[in-house]
Order: sequence, then C-alpha cells, then structure tokens
Amino acid sequence: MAARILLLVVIVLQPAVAAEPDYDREVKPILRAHCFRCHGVRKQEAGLRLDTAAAALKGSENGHVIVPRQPGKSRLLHRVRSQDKDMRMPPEGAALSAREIATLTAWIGSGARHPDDELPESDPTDHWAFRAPVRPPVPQPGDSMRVRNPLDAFLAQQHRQRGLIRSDPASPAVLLRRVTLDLVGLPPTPAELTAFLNDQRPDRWDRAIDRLLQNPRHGERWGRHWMDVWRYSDWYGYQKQLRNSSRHIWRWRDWIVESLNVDRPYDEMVQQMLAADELPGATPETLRATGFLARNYYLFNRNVWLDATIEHTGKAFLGLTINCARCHDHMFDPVTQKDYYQFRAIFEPHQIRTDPIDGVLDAKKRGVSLAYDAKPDTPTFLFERGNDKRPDKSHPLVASVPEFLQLQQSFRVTPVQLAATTYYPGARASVRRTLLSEAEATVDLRRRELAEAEKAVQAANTTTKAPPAANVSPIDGTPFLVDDFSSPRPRLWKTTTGKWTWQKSRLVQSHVAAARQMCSATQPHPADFSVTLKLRIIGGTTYHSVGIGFDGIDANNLQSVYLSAYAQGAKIQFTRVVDGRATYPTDGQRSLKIQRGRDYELRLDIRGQWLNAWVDGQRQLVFRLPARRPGTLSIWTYDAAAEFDSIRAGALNPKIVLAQTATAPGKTVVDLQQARLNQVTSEKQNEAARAALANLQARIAADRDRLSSSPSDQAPALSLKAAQLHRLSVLRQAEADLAANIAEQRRATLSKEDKALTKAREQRKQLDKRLQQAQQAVSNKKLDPGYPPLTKTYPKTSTGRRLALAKWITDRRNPLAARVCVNHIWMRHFGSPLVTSVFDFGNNGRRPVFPALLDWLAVELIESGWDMKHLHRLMLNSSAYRMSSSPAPAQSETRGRDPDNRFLWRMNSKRLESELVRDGVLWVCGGLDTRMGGPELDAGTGLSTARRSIYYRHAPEKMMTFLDLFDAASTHECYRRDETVVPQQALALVNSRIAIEQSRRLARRLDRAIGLENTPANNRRFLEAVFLRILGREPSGAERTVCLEFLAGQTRLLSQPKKLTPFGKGQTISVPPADQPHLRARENLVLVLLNHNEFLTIR
Amino acid sequence: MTDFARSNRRDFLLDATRGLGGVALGAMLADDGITRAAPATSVPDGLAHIAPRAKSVIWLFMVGGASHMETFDPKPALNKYAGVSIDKTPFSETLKNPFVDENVRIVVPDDANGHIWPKVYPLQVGYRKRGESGIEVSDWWPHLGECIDDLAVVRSMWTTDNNHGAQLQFHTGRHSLDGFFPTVGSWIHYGLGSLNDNLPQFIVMGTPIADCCGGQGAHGANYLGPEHNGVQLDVDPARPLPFATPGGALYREEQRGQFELLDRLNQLTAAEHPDDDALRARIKSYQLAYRMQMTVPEVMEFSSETKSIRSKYGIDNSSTRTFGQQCLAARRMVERGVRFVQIFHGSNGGAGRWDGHSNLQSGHAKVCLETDQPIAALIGDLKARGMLDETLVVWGTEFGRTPGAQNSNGRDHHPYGFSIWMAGGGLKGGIAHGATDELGFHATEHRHYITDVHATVMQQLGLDAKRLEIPGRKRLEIDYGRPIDAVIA
Repeated sequence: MAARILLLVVIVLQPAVAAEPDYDREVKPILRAHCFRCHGVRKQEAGLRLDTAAAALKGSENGHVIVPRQPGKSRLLHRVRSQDKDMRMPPEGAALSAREIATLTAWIGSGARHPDDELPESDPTDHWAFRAPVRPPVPQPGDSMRVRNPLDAFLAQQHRQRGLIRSDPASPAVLLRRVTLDLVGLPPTPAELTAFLNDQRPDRWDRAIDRLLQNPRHGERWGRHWMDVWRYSDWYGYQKQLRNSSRHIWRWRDWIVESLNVDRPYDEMVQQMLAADELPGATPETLRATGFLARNYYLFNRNVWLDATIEHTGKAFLGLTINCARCHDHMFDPVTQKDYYQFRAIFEPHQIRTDPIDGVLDAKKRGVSLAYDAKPDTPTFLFERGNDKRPDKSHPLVASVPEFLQLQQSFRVTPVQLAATTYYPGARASVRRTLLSEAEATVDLRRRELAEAEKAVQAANTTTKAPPAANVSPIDGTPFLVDDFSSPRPRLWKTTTGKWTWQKSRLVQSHVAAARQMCSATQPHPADFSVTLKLRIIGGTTYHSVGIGFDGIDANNLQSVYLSAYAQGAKIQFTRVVDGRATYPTDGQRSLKIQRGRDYELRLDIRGQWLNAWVDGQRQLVFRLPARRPGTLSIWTYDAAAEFDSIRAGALNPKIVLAQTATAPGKTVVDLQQARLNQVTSEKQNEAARAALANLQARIAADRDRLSSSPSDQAPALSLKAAQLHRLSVLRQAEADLAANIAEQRRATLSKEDKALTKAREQRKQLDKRLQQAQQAVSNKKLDPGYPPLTKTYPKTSTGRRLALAKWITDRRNPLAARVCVNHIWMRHFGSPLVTSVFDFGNNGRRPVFPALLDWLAVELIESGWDMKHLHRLMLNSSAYRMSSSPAPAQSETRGRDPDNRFLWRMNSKRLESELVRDGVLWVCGGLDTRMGGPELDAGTGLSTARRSIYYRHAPEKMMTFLDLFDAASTHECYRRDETVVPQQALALVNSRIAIEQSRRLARRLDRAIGLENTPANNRRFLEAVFLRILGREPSGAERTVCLEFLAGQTRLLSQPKKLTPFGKGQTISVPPADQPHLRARENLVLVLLNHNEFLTIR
Repeated sequence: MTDFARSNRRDFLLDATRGLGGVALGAMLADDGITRAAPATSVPDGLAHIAPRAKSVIWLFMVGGASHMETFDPKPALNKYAGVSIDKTPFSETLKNPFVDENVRIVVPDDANGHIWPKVYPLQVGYRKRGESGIEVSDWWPHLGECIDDLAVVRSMWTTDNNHGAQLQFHTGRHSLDGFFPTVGSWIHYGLGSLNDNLPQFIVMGTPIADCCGGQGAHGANYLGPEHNGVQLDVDPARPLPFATPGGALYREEQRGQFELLDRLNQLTAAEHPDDDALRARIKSYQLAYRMQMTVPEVMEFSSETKSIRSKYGIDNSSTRTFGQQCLAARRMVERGVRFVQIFHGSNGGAGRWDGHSNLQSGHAKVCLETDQPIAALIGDLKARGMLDETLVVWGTEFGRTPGAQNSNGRDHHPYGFSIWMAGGGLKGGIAHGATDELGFHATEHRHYITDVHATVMQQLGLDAKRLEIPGRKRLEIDYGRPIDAVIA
C-alpha cells in the first residue's frame, strides 16, 4: 500500500504556487533535492547549511543568503536563478525549474516561516549498517516449547510485541520436501521420504540435515545461489570472438560448487575470489576463484569493465552501492566520488590472463582464466562527472576503500612477492610434466618418422635400381598371342566397338569418339604374362588415348595401361574399370612425352599384383594392382585414331625381375632424390627433437635450482648449461627447418604447385638468416647464461591491493560483509530477506526486519569461522523454519496485522527456481544425469540431455529458453530472483519435449513395477506411486476420485483415435506414447502432476 | 525487483483471477473462437491517464542504421559538393558544432567506425515529390511514397551512441553503457490493460537485434519484470512461439483432458491454501496458456486472407515475403487487440543489414525493396479497414549515416541527425517535421531525442510516462522525452 501512496504523490499535478508555500511540504523538498549535498550534514560549502530553515537563515561565512520578505536581497535566489555557469547553483545537475524558484521566492517573500522544532538531517555515517555488529543478548521469551534456538527467541520477542500468533509446525512430509529442495535442490525420493517418516529417533531432523549437507548436490544447489550473487556468466561475444567474461570461466563455477561442498569458510572464499593470486600457496585450483574478476572482462572498454568490477564488488560483499558515486558523490551514503576512484585504484593494475591447466598447454583450448596485477604503476584519476574524457590528471589517487568506513578499520596495502608458481606457469610441476612428455613424444614421433623415411629411400632405391631390361626375352616359351595384323584373324580377335580395318600389315582404328573402341582377344591370358604392342596415334580431338587392356571381361570391366598424346598433359596411365566406372590412381600415372604420328612400343610385364610398363625399352611405370581376375587382353582407343603394327604376348619369363615399390597401393611413389631429401629432413628433425628435449631438461633443472628458496652453488653452471643447450636446440631446429624447406621446394617443383613453391622460396631467405644467427649464437665465445623461460612470465610482485581489500572486507570489524552474507542465506531458506534491499544496506536501503537477529547471526557467522554449513544448521534447526506456510483459521487476526508476513509468523512458500523445475522433472522421472562439473554445455541441448541445469551455458542470448521462462538469473545482475507466474511457463511445462518424454519414462517405469493390466487396483497403485514420487505425498480422497475418473475418461477417449484431432507437426519427441489407451492415459496423468502447482512450490 | 512492482503484479493477478473467477472452466475452454474479453484490470491501475487516441502500435525497426539522406531527408548539397571536403564547403562550421563532441559516447574506442568523414558523398538515389503534400521521398520507396500523405516524417532525430548499442538505446532511451532499462513496448505493456486475454500484448517478430547491440534487451522489460518482456512469435503457424504446441502425435482432445484435470487438481489445492496468490495466478496462467495455444497459431494462418491481400503484402514474392508476412501478421494481431507489435528488419547476427559502411547503394536498395511494398500494404490495409486511426505505425532506426564517404562507396554511423516516421494513431499525415542542416549533418530545427518518439506514442495511447514511475528506480528527464506536438493531429 505504501507504494500506492508514493505513486499518488508523483501524480500530484501543478497547482499555481501558493502565496505562502508550506515549508515542510513544498520548500524543504526543493532544498533537499538540490542543495543538501553540499550544504547539509556532510558538507557545508562556504559554511552554509540549508538542512534546517534556522541554519539557512543564519547564512554562510559570507553573510545572509536569505532575507525574509525581501526576495530581491536574498542571495540564494540570485544564485539559483543565475544564467552565469560559474554562479548558478547547483553547480552540477539540472537547474531549478521556474516553478521551484517561484516557490522559494514566495516562501521568502512571505516571511520564510518555518516550524521551530526542525531537526537537522542525520549524519549518514551514523547508520546501523555502518557500525560493526555486536552480539546482542538473546531474549528470553516464555514460550520455550517453540524456542529451539536463539533465532526463535528473537522472532518470538517480535511476535509477542506485535501480537502475532505463529504457525504450527508443518507436517514431516512437507518439512522433508522443503529442506531437501532447499539444501540440494531436488525433491526427496520416495525411499528417503519413507525412511524419514518411519524414523522414530528424536534427532531424525538433525540427521536429515547432516545427510543433505554431506550430499554433493548441496554444492550445486547453493553454488547456483552464489553464482547469482557473484554474477556468473559464461563467456560471450560475437561469433567466436570473446567480448565479455572469460573462456573457461566454468572452472570458477566448479570451484564454487567444490568450495561449498568442502565447507570452505566464507571469508576464505571472498579472499580467494578477489586475490587468490596474492595469497600464499596459490595453485591453479585456487586461482580459479578469481573468475569473480575475470567475469567482468570486456574487450572494448576498460572503464566499462572496471565499473562493473567496482559495482558488483560493492554490492555482492558489502551491500554498498559504491557505483552511485561514479559521476558525483553518493546521494545517500557518505561515499564520495573520490572514494569511487580510490576504490577503482584497487583494481586498476589487474588484468585477466589464461594459464595452461590439466596437462594441456594450449590455454585457449583448455586453461584457467585468472586475475593478476599486470601494470602496478597505472595511475588512477577521478573522471569529472564520470566522463572518461575528463580525467583529473593533477591528482593521481591512491588505492583505498571509502574513507568513512576506515574509521573502525584501516585499509593497509602491502606489496606481495609472488611464488614462482604463481607468476610463472612454467614453474608448476604439472606444466613441466606436460612439456617433458610432449618433448619426449616428439622425440619418439621423429624417430618413427625417420624409420619411415629410411624405408622410403630403400623403396625408392629398389624402384630406381630395378634391373634394366635384361637381355632375356620377357616371354617364356611359346607366346599365346602373336599377330602382325597382316590380315583379319577372327579366331584371335573380336571387335565390339569402333571401326577396325586391316590395311597393309597394320590394324587401323579410325572411329574417333569419346568412348572406348575395343578389339578384344578371344582367349584368356595367363595370370603372369608379358605383352608388347607396337602402335602409332594418328588422330583424335583431345585425349588421343591408346592402350592395352587385360583382366578383361567386357568394355565395362577391365584393367589397362594406355598412352595419351593429350596436349595438356601427355602421359602413360594405368586405369581400372569396374562396372563401367573408371578410376585413375595418381600413382598409376607418369608424365611422358607422347606425340601423334610417332611409333611407340608399349610393353606390359605383369606378375601377380605387380605391373611394370615399358615404353620403347624404358621402364616408365611401376604399379601395384589393387586386384586381379582372369580375363582377356584387348587393344583399345579412346578419342583417338591409331595404327597397330604388331602384338606379341606370352607367359612372363621367370628371369625377368619386376620392379616393385615399397608403398601400399594408392600411395604416391616417391622418387629417390625426393626420398633422400625427406630422409635428411627427418634426420635433422630427429636431432632437433632430441636437442629440444635435452634443452628442456636442462632448463627445468636450472629453473628448479634458480627458483628454489635457496639456490645452490650449481645455479650459475646450470643456467649456463641450459643457455648453451637452448642455443644448440635453436640451431638444430633451424637446420631441420631448412632441410624441410629444401625438400618442400623439390616436391612443389615436381608436383607443379606454383603457390607452394613460391612460398617455400620466400621462406628460404629467412631460414638462411635464422640458421646463420643460430650458428653465430652457438659459436659465440661470450657466455650468456640467459635462457628463455618455459612459458610466459608475469610480474613477480603484485601490488597487494586486492588482498588488502579482501582482508578488509572479511575482517571481523567490517560492519557489512557478514550481515550481507547472512541475509543472502536467510532469504533463500525463509523466502524473504531480513534486509529487503539485498544489495543496498546503505541509507537508501531498507532497515532489517529483525535487526538484533541479523546482528546475532552475523556475529555467529564470524565467530564460527565464517562456517556457512553452521549457519544452515542454525537456521534449519529453528522452529521458525519448520512452521507451516499456510495460515490457520486461528491466525486470521495475525494475518490482518501483518498480511505480507514481514515478521515471519508463518513460513513463506516459494516457487521452484528455474533450475529446480527442470532438474526436478528429470529427477522425479528418474532421468537426471548426476555427473558434476566440466565445461559449460550447449544450452540448445538442454531439453534433450539430462545434466543438472547449472552446467548449461549461462550467457546473454545463449540461455536455455526453458530456464529463461522460469525467471533464470539475469546474467547482468541478479541479487534476488523473480518469481513470476506467466502462461509461457505453462506452455513450457506442458508442451516441451523434456516434460513429455520424462513423463512417459516415469509412467513406463511405474507400469512395469505395478502391472500393465487396466484394473482398478493397478490404477490406484499407479496413482499412489506417482503422487508420492512427484508431490511427495499420498493423494487425498477428492484427488483420488478426480484422477481415477480422468484415467477412465482418457482411456475411453484414446480408444477411438479416429475421432481425435492430432496436433500434427511439432518437435521431435524421442519417446512415443504407449500403444494401449489406458497406459497412455497414465502417461497423461504423470504430465499433469508435473504441472501441478504443488510440484512447482516449496510449501 | 522492488516491492512495489511485486505487489502490483500480485494485485494484477489477483484482479485478473477475480474477474474471471465465476466462469466455468469447461465453458471457457470450449470457447475457442476469438473473443474480445472484457479488459482485465491493468498495471498499475488500468486506466489511461489521458484520453487515448490510439489502441495499438506497430513498431518497425530497421537494424543497422538507415541512411536518412537516401530515405526521407534529401540533401541536394551533397550532390553539389560531392567529393569536396566539408571544411572546403560553405558549411564548414558544421564540424565545429559542439554537438560533435558533446552528444556522443563511444563504446568501442579506436574502432574503424565512428569518425568524422569529411569528403562529401553524393546522394545514391533520386528523389521526387510524392502525394498531395509533395513531400520528397527517395526512389527506393515507390510504394511507400504513395502513402506519404498518411506519414508524419521527423527529420531531426538525434541519439548519443555512435556504435550499434544505439539499437538498444532507441528502445530504452538509454545509452548502452548505462545498462539495460525497460523498453518502450514493455512500459506500454506495463501501463495499459489487455485488449485480448488470448494473446500476448507485446509481441516481437523478425530476428531480434544481436548480442553486440543489446540483444534481447531491445524488447525486454528489465526491472518491470519478465512478464512485460516482448513475446517472440514466428510467422510459422506450426511453431509461432516457444513450446506453442506439443506435436509428437498428441491429440488436442487428449491435451484438453489434461488441462481440465490439472485445473481441477489445482482448484482442490487452492481450497487448502486460500491465501496463496501464486497458486491462483498459476491456475489463471494455465487457462490463458490453453487459450493462447489455440489463438496464436490462428493469427499466423493467412489462408483466410484474400489472394489479393496476400499479394499486396508481397507474400508471393521472395524478396518481400518474410517482411510481408510479418506486416500482415501484425495487422491480424492488432485486429485482435494486441497492444504493441515490434518487428525487426535486417538483423543478421551482427550490426544489421542497414549498416551501409560500403556498397551503400546496392545494400540500401535491397533492404528498401524488402520493406517498401509490405509497409505500404500495411498502411493501406489498416486504412481500408478503418484501423489506421487507432493504430500507430512507427518506422525507426538507431541512427542515420554520415554525409561524408566512408571507404569508397559507403557511409558511417551518424547519431547527430537522422529521420524516422510515424503514421496513423491520431497523428497528422503528409507532414515533414524538423530539419537537419544543408549537409544532413546536425539536426537543427526542432531537435528530437529518440525518447520523444516514445513520449508521442505513449501520449497517443493515453499514457503519461511520468506517472509510470517506479519508486527506487531513478529515471532521468531524458528518459521520458516530450511528445512531438507538431505531428499530432
């Protein structure tokens, strides 16, 4: 209602200015809005205060500013009216409106009357939240039954004073569901529920809490809460470009979850998040915590980045809206603009970097993003009116927290000498191990490559050195096919296509066509044979191909070797035709100058898989046939006219040694020179790899000694050795690269890859130069003991500013930190916070509902060693937590007194948060995948995969729609979730595949356990089981009736599918509905219960 | 979220429940036609602050920055001084105008964009006088030019973001560096009651702007609460909104049975928790969801439209189809009582297709072609149905483009002066209001910050933005804007 009244105030329309305006109602608000900031309790510029009329009438150090009844002589009016920029008041912000000036003028003119009892504004530093909490005495109310612990005592006192009657405890089933959802974010299983209800021991509640706090799901549930407060967002940007947050930020999420599960104290968590790098004993594991800072990274604008850091450090840990002081002093709290920039100076030096982690050195692929002080000397200036174009360079600022908060607790910065493992990832054992194993793997790889290269040389040698055409005849014994083509011999040949004629001892094919023109032998040839054909290519349009076929069945199935006088690339070529599809393996071809009109003698020797082809007595092709089959020889042309003088074929002479290649079929045959160049390269690379390993070992040894707390006498010698081995390694690498370049140049030349060749030639110059430099470095007599570090090295000292801040925040004298933390935890258990403005505990925030309770809890938190599980136990063990959330009839008066339950006379019911809706559906239906941690998952798979919702990508525009609809945390800021109820949520839970699929799965599981038959008993048992599983209770009598009617009705309906209207097209649903109508009706019932209000509510 | 907004939302839901409480669910579910429900009590009090002139808004937003000089603000001087450096023209003072520095906040310093480009780039398209008013419209708008007598062109807009965060700014009124704020559509959704309980009241079509430039924020409600967010709909009747239909071999009758059972179960629970507002709101939300599920696809079903209407909107032509369908859907929505329809054109996952840094001529010709005929059809159709009087059509873009050439054939971002237009909804037609200087550089006459458009729209709908104050959320004077009185009939 208060809000409505406020609204009305705003709506008040403009009446004419009264002759005598009312001071309190009309005049003072003007002065408060425009003047108090500089002329009030905190500042009295020119000695002037305007927060009481009496003070205003007293005037400034320069005399009166208001002269009653004489507006013309009142300097205050001159100043607010002035058109002169330097004169006009207020100097910043909007000028007073004409109406406001008229009001002031009328008030002064009518005598400046005011009440006598006016009090000055109170000092904003004298504010409850700015005083350190002191443990208040616990009240001793009479109602000891209901007072289980001090929390209840504080509440009971208020209830008694306000005449409120508190609720009775909720039923054990409701309580177990409440506490289970609150602590682990999933409803209890039927087994857990039954065990709890049957447990008669007096401490069953405490044991339930202990069990849940030990459950690793607890870290996930509360991790998500703190991720809201600490503003978790996965990285995002434009396509692959990182613009906001940081890659691998999920490691911070995992750190949060793990920290909560191991009950890491809150103060330690805050310290690690702000300054893990400045704390002793930093490891990649603890450095993950600085994701809190890495999250604010913003590619384009450092000021935006730091503003976010300042704002959310203030809000999350201090409940202080420091951000309001960016452009001017804070309107309500004693935070000056200078304070804002001094606070900024704490963060000014820090940057975000990504270190290798988990044995992967490519930090982009797998790394940890963390904060570190990169530039300790970067100055911080105040930006006039927050405008970064107007830095006040005359006053560099010193890092500090707001001055008014230093009264109780000073802020001291001590620079930190970092451990080598912090500033130098190369000093970490894991990184060394990874580097060594990678170097060893390279040595291994190079060794294997060398062996291969050596084999290739041998093979090339064999190929090249295969015996030349021996003086023995390739044919052994009597040839099986001899023809001089003096006349047609149909007994030997059969022509199928083409125009074949016999002219003067020549066979002529004169039909030029883009198809194979065949003349095939009538008899098959032996497997191993030699054939020699004398031929001339006399015509054709393009390809001019003429060849010998073998293993032939018909024109669509044969193997061949042919000569082609193709002007763009004459060659000898092997080809294989299977069912009409021809393949032309690249290793079965060789460029060869074949011309029209010239005589050629083409000879094929084939033994088993091996084919050697000769042209005019020169071996031109060595090829391993992929397959053999019995068949006939043929002569053919393709796009060619040709003449054939003779053919002679017979069994292959065993004395003929066929050349073979070492490569498998399909691999390019390397010529000897290329193979040798490759081998040289490989040898050099081998040496380089070994040198690199030796160098790495030496550098690690030197590092180890140099970076230890007490370096030995060996240190200089070790460094020197490392440096020498490094130079040698550089030389070996340069040699290897040069060798590779030479090999590449030849390869590119042979394969006519012009671009590659040009590139290789260009690189050559640099390589020569590098080699020369490396040689010089090695031969240089001057002994430089410097060697490069294993990884990037960052500054060895850190400013210590962030650590100072973290320590200051978590100091027990800090008035804000513990209260803010307690408030967040309280809100999430009780459904409403103790301080409503959860991120603003300042003067503009709300006062706590139970101030003493808040302070008592804050002190308790600090004194328990910031133990959050202790706080959970305290809250959950109270009677307050166990109250029923529904008011009883006896409480009607109480309800009238406090309708909004501000004083917690009953429990608040809560709607499940978005994650709990999705996780709950999966959990009760038995589909939840409980694996923990790891990189963020694609939100697009959120309805088809079953991990807990916390693990899916949480970033603007990349959120899961389903979660978004249920008020998922805004990635920009979410100190408190919304709890809306809108129709889109209903559609999501009725129509989404996850709800439909999971409900069918659960129905099936229960069907199997209960019985598939459509009997009343089965249906009743099904109903009971599904109520217990989804709502954690039995159905009531009315519910039973309604549901059984539904099952019967749906079964009838579904028995006549032809009368029904399908929705038709829609999403993919991987679980089809049951075939039998009554089973499908049960599935329908499960989905209804997943949409039941009570499933979505924590009672 | 403040307590205020919470309590108001709760009141709203309570009232909504009360309003329909007596109606039997079965009857309600059976009523699957398009009915105009009695207006529910609205947020904050459901009453217009001032006499409304319009009921609905169709808000067309060209993503990327449409060139004002090649659309609605002809500048012959650009042709006269083509290739000449601005400081060598008679208008050299332009560059010394304090606006050059004062009004601009750059998000991405040192970008290739966002500089002054001195070399005058000539007009890339011709102009002619159109309509009785004789207002000049560029030749890329042959159809829309025919409607000029219904349009109120404002040639003197300015904004402050020289990067595409100005897209967000055009909708919230705030520079993107200030963060996210409620958008004009969500304020209207928040401020006015519903005209039809079967449909969302703030609908978004087209691809929303990309993350770079504000993302979902450009149709978001921010602190007003997510129920005031624009609801994204697709013109595909099979899949018009998230989870619109279950598909997968389900029967409508089967699902209706489920809704009925759920309602009965929840009502049984409600009897046990008479004080539970959220529970009552949930019952109501399921009833609404059921009706929305039936009505929303119907809106996207164009088969009931005549062939000639479909053809007028350009649905039979591949270059105009998408935007034409969206415009036609917008008319059907407005017809059924949707308050605010926001259509994005040209979103491409980045800055947007109106962003003519190079090849401005071919690029703009194409995006104009895609939108010209559909927009003209929309205005003509609304007019023919007598709906234009109560429907306000707004055509906007985040900023204009530089008079000087960027690269060889483009124009850069230009926040100092640009054009928008509005039509219908009680505004004057055939009027060109305000002006930029001779080069189209600075808005000089009747300068209007972008929120003046918001204020105009709200006033026509009967809302006084200042009465929508949320305690605890400080709004600046500039957030409210001032209605552009000169274009109001």
